[in-house]
Amino acid sequence: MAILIVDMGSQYTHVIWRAVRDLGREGKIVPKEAAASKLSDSDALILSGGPSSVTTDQFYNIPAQIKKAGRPMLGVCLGHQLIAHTLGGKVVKGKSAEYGISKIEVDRQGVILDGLPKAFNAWVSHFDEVVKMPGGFVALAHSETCGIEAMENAKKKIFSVQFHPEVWHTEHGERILGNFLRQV
Amino acid sequence: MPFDPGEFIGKSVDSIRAAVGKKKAIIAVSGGVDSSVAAVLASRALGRNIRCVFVDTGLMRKGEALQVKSALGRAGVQLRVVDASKSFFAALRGAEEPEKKRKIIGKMFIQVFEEEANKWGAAYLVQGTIAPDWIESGGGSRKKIKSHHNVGGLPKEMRMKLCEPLRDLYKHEVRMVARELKLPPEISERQPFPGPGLAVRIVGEITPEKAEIVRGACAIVEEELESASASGKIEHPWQYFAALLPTKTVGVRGDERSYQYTVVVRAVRSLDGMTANFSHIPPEVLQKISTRITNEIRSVGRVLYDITNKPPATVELE
Repeated sequence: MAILIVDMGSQYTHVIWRAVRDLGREGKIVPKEAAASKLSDSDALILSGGPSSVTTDQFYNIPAQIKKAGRPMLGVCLGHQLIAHTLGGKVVKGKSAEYGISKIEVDRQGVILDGLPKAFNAWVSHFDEVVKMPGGFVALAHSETCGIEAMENAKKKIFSVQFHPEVWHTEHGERILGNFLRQV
Repeated sequence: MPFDPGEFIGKSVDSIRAAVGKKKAIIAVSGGVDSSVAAVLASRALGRNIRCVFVDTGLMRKGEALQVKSALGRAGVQLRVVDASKSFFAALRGAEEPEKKRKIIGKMFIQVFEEEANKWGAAYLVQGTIAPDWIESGGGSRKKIKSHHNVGGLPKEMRMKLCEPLRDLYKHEVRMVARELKLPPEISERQPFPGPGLAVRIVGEITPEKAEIVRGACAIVEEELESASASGKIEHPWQYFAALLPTKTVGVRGDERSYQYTVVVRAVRSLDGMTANFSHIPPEVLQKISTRITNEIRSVGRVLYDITNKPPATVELE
């Protein structure tokens, strides 16, 4: 079965598909509205980024359905925020936006950041940020302007990152996606 | 599995043949790696039923039409060059807004291609569209960043059917295919050049005079950065060019006041064009570029280096 890539309108949705393929797995892009009906045909799900904001726009509660179905999931950017927002955390507009390069400082590696150095450069593109995690999650990394750059609930196999591991400019991005795919 | 260019070529030739069948097709060739690869694949698939058309928009780089014709000729692709520069400039007169300019250019391209197709009875238009073109043109929940001329710039009603064999590929993958096809390095390693050409490097209204200024500045940037790269002073940038701002600023030349245009020099590192960072060019190389541009092009009085990454900027200015 395929890795379902839930398209929430990111510029990088297709880049996630490419990265998954480069790691030897088959990815399948589905629009966010169709994700729930395809759950049973998937091994795991990746929630893409996107231009909307969970603070103002209506959202399908995809993360809760994926969690209920017991599938591993990885949220990226808006996907990270949607996981926090719908599973009981909190997302607000940040004090400062982050576009382009950002230095990510790893506080603990956990599962998803396993093998990464203490600090690395990642590519980001967001204004909203997660300020409170849902229950059962641990924070893994921060940057100068954003308190939670990565978080996970390893037991439930739910992982999320604020930065974009799929783009070429993010150092160790392949390692991060590989860490997720190994959980599948 | 990582991308396999050999496997891709086989599948792609089969699927072009299946899509177009026994009908005739024309292919829009700009001389860039994307359209050149698409042209070779389409030629393999369709043989005599394909005709390659290069449109000279008047917004090409210095010597581009000739260079492209000879490089592709060596790769076995015969080009038909259509000079449409007068009608492109006429259609663009007065247009300042980048999206408006892109739509006009998309429409003009299709007009030329439809004329060519009618003359020859072609039912299909093959294009070298790659993933970032349709991604950035928007669709569904994805916002439009810019209308690429071959996607968002296309008119709603088109007589020809589209065939786009490279839709799922990114630039680095297209280059792998080009090398596998044994295309000459001046094509396979050619830096990206946008479909609308110098139009997106002239901020605001386009005139033949401004095209001449930016063409000259682009040639200087290319010469200097290629020479700095060849002598090991810099990492070869992924894309490098000059753009013209409509802003004039004050200067002093030979004890006289000058009031001239501003040129932006841009050089970026990237793999696929989806993200980019500005190249770290040493000051002495930048100095040489700025001295040459202001000495050789009278109407430019100031040169800036763009230090913005993508995001938040894009590679081109419009």
